[in-house]
Amino acid sequence: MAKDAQWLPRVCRTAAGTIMVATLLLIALLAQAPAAAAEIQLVVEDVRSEQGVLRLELLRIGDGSEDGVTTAQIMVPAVVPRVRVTLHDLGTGRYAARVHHDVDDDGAMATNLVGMPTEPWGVSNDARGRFGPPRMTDMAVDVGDEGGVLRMTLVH
Amino acid sequence: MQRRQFLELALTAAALAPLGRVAAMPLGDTWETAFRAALEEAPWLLGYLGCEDRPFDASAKVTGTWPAALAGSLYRNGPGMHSLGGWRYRHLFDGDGLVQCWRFGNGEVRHRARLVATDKLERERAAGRRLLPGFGSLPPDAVGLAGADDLNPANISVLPQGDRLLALWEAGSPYALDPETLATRGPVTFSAETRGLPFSAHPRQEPDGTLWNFGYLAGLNKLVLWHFTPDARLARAVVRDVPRIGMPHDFVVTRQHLLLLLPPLYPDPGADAATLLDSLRWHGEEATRVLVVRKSDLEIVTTLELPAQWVFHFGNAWEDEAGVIRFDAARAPDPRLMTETFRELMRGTEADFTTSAARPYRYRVDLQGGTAEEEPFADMLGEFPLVLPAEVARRHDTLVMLGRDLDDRPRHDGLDRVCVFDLACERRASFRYPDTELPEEHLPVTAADGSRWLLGPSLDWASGQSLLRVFRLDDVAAGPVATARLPYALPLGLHGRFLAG
Repeated sequence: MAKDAQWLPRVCRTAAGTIMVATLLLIALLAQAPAAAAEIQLVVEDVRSEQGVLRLELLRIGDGSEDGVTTAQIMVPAVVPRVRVTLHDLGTGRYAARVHHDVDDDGAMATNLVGMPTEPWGVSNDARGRFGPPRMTDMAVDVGDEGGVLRMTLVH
Repeated sequence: MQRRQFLELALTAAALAPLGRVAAMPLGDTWETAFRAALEEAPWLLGYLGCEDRPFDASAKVTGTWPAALAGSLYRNGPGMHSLGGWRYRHLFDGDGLVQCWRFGNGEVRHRARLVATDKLERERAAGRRLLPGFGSLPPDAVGLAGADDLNPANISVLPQGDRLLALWEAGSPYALDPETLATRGPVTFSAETRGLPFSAHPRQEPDGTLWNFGYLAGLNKLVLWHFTPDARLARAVVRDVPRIGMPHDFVVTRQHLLLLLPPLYPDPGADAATLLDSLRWHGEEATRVLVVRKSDLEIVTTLELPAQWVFHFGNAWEDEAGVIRFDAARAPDPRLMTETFRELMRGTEADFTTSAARPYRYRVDLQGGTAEEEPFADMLGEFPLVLPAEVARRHDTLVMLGRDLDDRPRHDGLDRVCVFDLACERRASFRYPDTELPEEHLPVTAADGSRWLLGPSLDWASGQSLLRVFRLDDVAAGPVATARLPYALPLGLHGRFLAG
């Protein structure tokens, strides 16, 4: 992924270390127009350093793709110990999320010699795999008209 | 590469120990109950009871004359705590690492032991119960894994390295401990690009201090090779593709080469298995491959074949000028000791392990001729082969092993004898332990004045005391010259290292 500053929404940092996305400028990859407006919170727990940035990805599940379709890619500053991003005007439905703490801010996941990540990462519901990667269904959160929260704890 | 691909690769690698069927929480753990009942009938099972979650410190009572020249620390490790929250592990290899230090000098012997405070144990202590799957155990309501280190119990061996002591597992990172207090400092990362890579529990250290190790990634079929300089800096770490690598536990080094045996035991990814152990399949019709790696560029130069066999531990290897490598090992016909006996032991089921136990074998690998041959060199059961540190990767004349004669029937299911083989003269000297004692890995060591000794830890199950005995390496049959006795019994450990001084 390139250093895509265009994905960076306008943010303001509150005293509680919460980041609010004021305007949803970033939904460039909407799979389809939302059927109804909903608010989604992405909450990243156990942020241990304020170096670099958090790169979040919101996926919409069920629109003909079991893997999910990228709905938003968001880059926000890292804030210890928790970051909360609120997205407005999304359609109701099933969603999943992933996060990468890009500590060196080089736009790529740092890995060891066999490709395992060496920067913190997380997925919604803190889903964990059995024989392989966590299933999208374990990462999924249903979002209705009242909105929803997708939580992920960083793996260090 | 996209972030998604990175994450998926990570999680695939993380699935070393699959999380499987969720067992219902029992009212009382049947294995715990069964083991306690078996212990009443067979008190030698004390060695597998497991320790409590507490520190151990004592001054040992010494009888006999401790050699004045023999001063230093014997560090040991092994599965220590098997039960937590009333639930007992289903495999011997899952217990939390218990690191011990026997420190001796000035006529005094002190002992200290600490459980390694791994990330896993800290999470489980906080929860008051087991949370994570082990190699062969799946606790009720287990949580999933983000990586192999999530289930790292740091419970196989130790390695003194500079100002720290490493507690070693084989599928994840070493843990650093304070060598004096044995307090856990945390997992070790040798470099950014090697973070989280497996570091086996049997690194080989040459007499000049150069250290070699390997690690296997059974799911990804990759072999990691490690090379450290004598001052403990990481010189090289490389990854090689090795199809069907399985789970090699130990290896040997010569002046020019590293050599691994790859027994045909692999995880079956299609198995509906609760644990990694349950997913393993033995392919006895296949060969055990001999993998030879050139030290200079860490490339695999030769792959040869031997009959299917299971080897946990090697003694030592050396190579002559014609390119012939000789080494010795404790060779078993198959891995039943691991896949069956060490599981059944946890519920106290006594097993006749004489057909699955290892025996002393020697090997000859001709790199020019492309041949690999093997032969037994002693008609007995044998395990824990070791040589003097000064003879690693050189021709060795002395090999120490625990053993048991085939017609011997001690009052326990373990090995009962320590043997010192003089390989040049093909002679065996040995000391047979009393029936009430279970010997553990015995280390041949050299004292500051050049004298050669054998450090022999054991468990006296009748008195409920752990012991350290000292023998003259060159006269083991005469029995111990000194015995240090603790006021408590600790679980039988696995491997150790001696640090003189």
